[in-house]
Amino acid sequence: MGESLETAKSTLERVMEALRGSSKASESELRDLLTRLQAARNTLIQNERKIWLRTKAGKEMLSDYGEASLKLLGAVESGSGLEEALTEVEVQAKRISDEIRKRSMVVT
Amino acid sequence: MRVLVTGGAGRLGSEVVKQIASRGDSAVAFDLPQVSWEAVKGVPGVDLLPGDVTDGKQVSEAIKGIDAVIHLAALLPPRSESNRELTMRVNVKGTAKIVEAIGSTGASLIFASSVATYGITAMEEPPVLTSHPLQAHDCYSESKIKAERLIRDSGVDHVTLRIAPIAVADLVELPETIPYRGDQRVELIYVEDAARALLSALYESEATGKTFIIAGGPTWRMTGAEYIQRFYDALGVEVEPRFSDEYTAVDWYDTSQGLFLGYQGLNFNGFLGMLKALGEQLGLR
Repeated sequence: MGESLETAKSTLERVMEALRGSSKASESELRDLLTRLQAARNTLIQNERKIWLRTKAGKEMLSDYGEASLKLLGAVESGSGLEEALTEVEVQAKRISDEIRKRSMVVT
Repeated sequence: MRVLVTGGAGRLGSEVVKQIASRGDSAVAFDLPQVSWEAVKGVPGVDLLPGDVTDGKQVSEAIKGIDAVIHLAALLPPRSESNRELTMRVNVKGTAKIVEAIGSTGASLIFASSVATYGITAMEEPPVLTSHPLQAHDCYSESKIKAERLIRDSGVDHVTLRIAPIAVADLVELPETIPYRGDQRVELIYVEDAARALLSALYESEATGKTFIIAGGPTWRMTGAEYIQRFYDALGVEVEPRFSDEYTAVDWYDTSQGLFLGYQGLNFNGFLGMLKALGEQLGLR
C-alpha cells in the first residue's frame, strides 16, 4: 500500500510541476487547476494512515487513483483531455474519502 | 403492527427496521433525506420516509396509521458538542414533536436514551445501576435527560432504554482520539443486540412505563485499552491508539433488570470471531 500511495502522490507532484511549466493555460485557469489537484492530493495525505487503504478493496481504490493520476500526467504532457483526466482523479479521490468517512467511530 | 422508526436509515435504525420486518410486521424508516439510505433500500416490509423530526408537520404525517414509534433520531457526539442549540432542537424539541404527534393516537413510544445520562462514573464502585442519579456533563447527555423527562411527563405509553455505546462488526477507522481512557471500564453492546432490545421493549407488555440499561453483559466488560487492542487484533491490524486523557461517560452496567428482554445474544468472543472473519475477507489477516 505504502508504495502505491507514494507513487500516486509523486505522480500528482509531477502533474503540478508540468502544469506550472505549461504556457497553454492562463494564470487564473492554472490557479484553478492547481487548487483542484491539491485538494485531490490532500485526500491521500489526510487518509494515508487509514486502515481501509490496507484492505484489498482499499488497495484497488488506491491503484485506480494511481492510474487516473498517470492518465492526468499524460494529458498534461500531451495537452489534450486535461479536464476529463482531472475529473477522473477527483472521482477516485472522492471514492476514497467517502468510504473512509462511512467508517468513522460513533459513540452514543 | 406498523412501527415508525426515527433515525431508521442509520446503523442502529436500519437494523431495527430489518428486525421488525423479519417478524412480519411493517416498519417505516424515517430519516433525513440527505443521509445514506442504502442499508434499508429494497428491504421487504420496510417503507422509506424522508423527513425531519424537528418539522412538526412532517412528524404528524409520519405518525398516521402507526401503532408504535421507536425514536432513535438524535445528534450524537462529537457533532452534538459543537452546536448546543442544534442538539437541543433535534434531541429535545424533536422528541417533543414526536410526543405531540402521538398525542391521543394510542401509539406507544420506545425511546433510545443513553448511558451517557449517568455522567462520569469512573471513580465510583461498579456497576452503574439503573437507579443511579442522572448527571448531565455535556450537551448530548443534557439533551437525553431532558427528552426522557418530557416523555415521562407526557403520559404517553413508553419504554426508555439507556443504551451503551454501540459496537459494529465492521472495519471502524481509529479516530484521532479514542473517546475514553485506556484504563477506563467500558461495556459496549453489539448493534443487533441493541436492536433486539428495542424490539423486545416494544413487544413485551411488562416493559411498559419502565427504564432499562441496555449493555453487552459480563463478557463485554473490560478496559478501554483492552477493547481497542482486542478489536483491532481480531481484524488483523496493528494500531497505535491515542486515548482520551479524561474519563468519559462509559462504564460497566447492571443489566439484570432488563434481562427478561432477552437481547444479549452475542458474547464478546463471538464478536471477535466475526471481526476475524471480516479481517480475512478484507485481506487484513
